[in-house]
Amino acid sequence: MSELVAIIPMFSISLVLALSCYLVLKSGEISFGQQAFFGVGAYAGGILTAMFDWPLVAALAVSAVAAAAVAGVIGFSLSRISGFRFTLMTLVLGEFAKEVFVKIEWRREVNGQAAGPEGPLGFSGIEYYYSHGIQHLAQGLIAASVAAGCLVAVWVYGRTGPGRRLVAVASDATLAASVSIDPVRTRLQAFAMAGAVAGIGGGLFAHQATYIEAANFSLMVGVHAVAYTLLGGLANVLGPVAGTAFDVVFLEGLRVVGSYRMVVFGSLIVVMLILRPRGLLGTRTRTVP
Amino acid sequence: MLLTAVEGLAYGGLYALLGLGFFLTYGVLRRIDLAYGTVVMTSVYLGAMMVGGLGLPWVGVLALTLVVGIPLSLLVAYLAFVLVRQDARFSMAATLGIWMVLEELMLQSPGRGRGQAIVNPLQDLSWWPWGLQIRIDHMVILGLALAVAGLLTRFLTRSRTGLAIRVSAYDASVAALLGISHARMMVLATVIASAVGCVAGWSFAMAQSGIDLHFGMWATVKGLVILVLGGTQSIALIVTAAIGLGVAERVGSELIGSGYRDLVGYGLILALLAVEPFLRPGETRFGDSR
Repeated sequence: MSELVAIIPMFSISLVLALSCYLVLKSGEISFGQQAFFGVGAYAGGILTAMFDWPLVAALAVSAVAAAAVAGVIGFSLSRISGFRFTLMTLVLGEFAKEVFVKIEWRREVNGQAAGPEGPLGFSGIEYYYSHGIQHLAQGLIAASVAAGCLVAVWVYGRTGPGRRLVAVASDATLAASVSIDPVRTRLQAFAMAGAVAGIGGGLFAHQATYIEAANFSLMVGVHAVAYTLLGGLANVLGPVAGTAFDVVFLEGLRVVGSYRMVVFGSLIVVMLILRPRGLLGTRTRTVP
Repeated sequence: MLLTAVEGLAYGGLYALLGLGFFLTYGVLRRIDLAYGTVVMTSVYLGAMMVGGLGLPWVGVLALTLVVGIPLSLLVAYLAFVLVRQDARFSMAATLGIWMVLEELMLQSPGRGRGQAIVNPLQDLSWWPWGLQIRIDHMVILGLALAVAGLLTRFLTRSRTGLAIRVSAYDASVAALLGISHARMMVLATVIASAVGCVAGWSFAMAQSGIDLHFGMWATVKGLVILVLGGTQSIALIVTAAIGLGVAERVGSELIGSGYRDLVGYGLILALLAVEPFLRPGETRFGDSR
């Protein structure tokens, strides 16, 4: 039971980041930079609760808005490119953001003690859960609730106009434009939403970890989130859930392969892309006779 | 400052070698191989580990790097670009999985991911023109990069095999009609790209007197950036972009402090990539590399 309680926040946070990657993948692109927005959300949320004593819900909301704003700004350019250049730009964005996080230094006295990010020394003391007496089970429930909320939001997005337009743009941008769908605007909306989702995940992560540093937002974090989505499949929002569950619960939680987790996980991605490229929950391609 | 710029030339040489490997992989083969840097790192790492363990001479690192690196690159190419039959994005994602596997295997190797020392026989040799200390190994790296660039240019533009590789990469069916074996040409190009990468990795490790696991990702990011800066049309532009980046990074870090080198470097590249779609909208919008 205690293992399950311990794994819920980790699974939920990883799922939220995977959902962010899912939104970008739905636009037909692969982003290796979602960890940048995850980091923006983490720093924004952590600063608000640790330095200004904001309530968690408000801090998470600001995390989402801040990350969406950053995604929206970078999205002006990202929404106009595709393929290799898109992936490279997100990759560089992730590395740039990591360097920025190393430089964030802002200290403020709170209750007689200095609080806030200390540049390369990281940002410690994000102890909202402990200062408010929120126990492990409650922490897990908060994380799971937020992840479920994000899951529903992404599902609703996919079932409504913007989501359908995004799929149309991903399939054929020129054709979509010919039926009055603006590809740039559609993709920009998706990137901003993906940023917001990643930002919420980051906010959750900061409060769960209590200490964050730039290394928490490395390229490998973004790569994992993409891998979860690809492993689960893009057919619907349950794909990221399946991919995340497989790695976090099965490989990491149960430790079935010991320290060779990454070897198994990486190999599985390759095998899946060869044998079942649409993922664990992917649909079969139907051929019209 | 002049000395820093000369040091930047050496880094530019290293970047050029990495850029040339990516030029062959993406520019010629049209493959986005995110495991490229990790394959190079793995090869040099294992080479250094074996040379250290067996007590072989320093030149053995290069030989072992090539012995490990070329078959490994062929395996990656087969798994990610032959067996994965979907579009380029799926192949790219497969290289991602291979990257994870290789990096983790190095962590689980007898070296446990720790840095491996490599003997640099030229480390203490310097040349002193006009009072400036110029390391001989840096100049050797720059010379090596220029020589490789020259040989590759000649091979791809003047030789029948080079032309056959380009035709085959452009259109396999046209190549077949001309009697060119597409599979053989792809293998040959992969071997050359891998060998260039191995030389780049070995040169870097020599200049640094060692290698660690961070090199893989660093090499991939730098190589891709040089590819974007230099384009995919000309080897000369790749070399120019690489040397320019090497000098700009070194001089920039001298001016603003080494702590800001990566921040400024990535910031400039990001700004360049962000502005590009507005400068050349027709070339980058919804049509690149599919």
